[in-house]
Amino acid sequence: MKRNWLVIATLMILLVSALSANLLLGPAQIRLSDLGLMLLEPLLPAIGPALEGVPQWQETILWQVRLPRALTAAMVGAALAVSGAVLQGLFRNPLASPSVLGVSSGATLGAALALFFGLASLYAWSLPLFAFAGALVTLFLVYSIASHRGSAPIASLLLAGIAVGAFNGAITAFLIALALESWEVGRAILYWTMGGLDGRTWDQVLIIAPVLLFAGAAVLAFQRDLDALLLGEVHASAVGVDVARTRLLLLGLTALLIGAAVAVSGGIGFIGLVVPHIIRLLVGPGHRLLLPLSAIGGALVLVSADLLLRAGFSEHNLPIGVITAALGAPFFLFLLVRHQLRVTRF
Amino acid sequence: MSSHPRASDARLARGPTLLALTLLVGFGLSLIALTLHPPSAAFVAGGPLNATQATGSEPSGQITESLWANPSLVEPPQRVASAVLATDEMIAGLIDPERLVSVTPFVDDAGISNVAGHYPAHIARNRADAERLLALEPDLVLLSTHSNPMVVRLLLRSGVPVARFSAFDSFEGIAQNLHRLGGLLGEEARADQAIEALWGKLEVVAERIGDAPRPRVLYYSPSGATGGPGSLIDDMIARAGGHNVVRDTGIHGHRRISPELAIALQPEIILISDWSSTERQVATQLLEDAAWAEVPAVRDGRVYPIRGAWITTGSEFSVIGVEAIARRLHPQAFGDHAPLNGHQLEQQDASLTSSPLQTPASPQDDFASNAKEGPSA
Repeated sequence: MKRNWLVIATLMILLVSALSANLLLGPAQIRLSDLGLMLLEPLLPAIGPALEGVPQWQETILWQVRLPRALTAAMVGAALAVSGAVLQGLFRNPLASPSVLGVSSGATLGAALALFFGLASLYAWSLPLFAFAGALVTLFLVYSIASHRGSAPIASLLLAGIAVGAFNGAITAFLIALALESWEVGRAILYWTMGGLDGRTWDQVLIIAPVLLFAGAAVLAFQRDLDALLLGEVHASAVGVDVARTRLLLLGLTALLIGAAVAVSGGIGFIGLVVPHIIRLLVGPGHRLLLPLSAIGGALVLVSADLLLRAGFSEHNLPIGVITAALGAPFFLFLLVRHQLRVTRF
Repeated sequence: MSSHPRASDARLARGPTLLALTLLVGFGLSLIALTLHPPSAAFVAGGPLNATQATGSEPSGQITESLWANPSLVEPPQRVASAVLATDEMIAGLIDPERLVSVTPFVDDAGISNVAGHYPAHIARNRADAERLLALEPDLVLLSTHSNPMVVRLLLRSGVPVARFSAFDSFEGIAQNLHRLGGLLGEEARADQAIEALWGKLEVVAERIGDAPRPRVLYYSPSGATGGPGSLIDDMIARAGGHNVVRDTGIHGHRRISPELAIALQPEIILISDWSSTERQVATQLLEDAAWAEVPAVRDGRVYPIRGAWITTGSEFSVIGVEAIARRLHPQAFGDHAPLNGHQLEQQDASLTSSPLQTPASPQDDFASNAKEGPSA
């Protein structure tokens, strides 16, 4: 227990410091003291006069550029990591993740359709809705192809996921090729599929926040069922879990999370796969801790990746997925090797 | 130690319940925030990406931006930031550097920039990222419809007037962009002069060529990219007195084509954009590749690298490219340059670079020298 609290506290402290660093650092030079004052001003209106010499553009950068970007990164990371944790528990497979099961590409295809038919430019919610629909359809398609009499053998599940994912990717590429004939639409889809957090505003924050909070709460309600499912479907049914219903609801919630994440930032790989594993190695497989800590861990990874991108590589147009993989993979391997050493030693 | 998955201790269940309740409260609050500030379609991802429309009386009329309400320009802007190489090049002849706060770093790359050395180092360089642009407090940011729409929206939302340019795909488009830019900057006279010079030079080239037969020309980049109707290179080839072979295929705009198609089109002249040593190698490789041996252009040694900055630019400097192409297509009309074979590519290119367009009937000084000396008119 003591160690778990240590992990929770460390992750929280790291997340808060990464978020603050994201607000304090950036290509534009702003004095740290001014940033601190600006951040405190809404809470303590009394310090307003101290801000008089601060130019307007600095406030704009803090409130309209850096803060929404950092919050979007945190929430996208959390949504992806939680959905990865749920999928891994649900399918009892360490390889299950939004990208491997083709769900991310389904969401991307849905969003690309919304852009292609011009709906995204008319209704703000059409993009997340289409992304959600794409994720949901893919998830159920993969599940129904792979499942046989209520159980889904892992090999066929993953194969179906990879096949459907490849199909989704092909259709998206086809849409882009068609759209590039009229350059402007093509550019919009292309920019959007590249993903990333450039220019994200409060609109994106407001789209993902309710989805993440609602689905996060709902998923938490299933933590015991997920624990029971870890021991197998037969066991879960034996302890009173309605396996089919739980599965349906959890698949729907996962699709919701992935749809929102993809709608806000495009496809960002790696987080959904690796973050839950890292957390599992740290605190064990129980979902009571795994789900919330995956959320914090996912947020931490994406926020740190964005920090690195903005502070270190702002001159190069690196996609954020490169950073998440470069940061997460070595750490994951380190934990894995350490875990193996420990297992073999005893 | 990690907790057991099925621990039934009531104390253990309290944590997740509290957390779930907190999340649900947050959900409720975010719903309230959503009803107060519904997200704008333009900011989520879509939004029509048409270029800025300049309406009202220029010079300082209202500029409307389809993405978001654009703050109007009250008077000619004094802190202009350009985030596209084409506009970097266009404003070089329109406004003095004192009115500029930023240009792109590409201006310093002589391989792709026609204004290398024009902008002093104290003018900030930007890569079209929102934060750096905002920090410069510009009163007008010049972008193109190719710029990241998310950045455009962020600038607009922060109250920065944005003008996006499109139609870099023909000389009419370039003239239009120059005209609009001149209007926005309050420099119509200079813009009109530049447009006049542009048409004047094109006319001189057309006169030189006269009714000479049009050779079959292919523009081919190392990656296999070429341009059909609706691309600037197509307009350039036509005005240089050539027939763009891509016109025989139905391809529109910029497109990658396979070597097979390129060979099948049997061009008599192949133009290669030359802005790096690898592209030069490609030209040499084409000449030695057995598959290309029977292509008329390769057989006759008429594969010409043209300086990249003249071909790939979307500004009025492409008129120099037209002249350079015309000299390759109709050497007899320009007299002193005989076609050279591929092994003399380097020499040939060097001679071209060192002899910029000198047209006696040109109404204005050459653009290249104009850029070097700075706008003094």
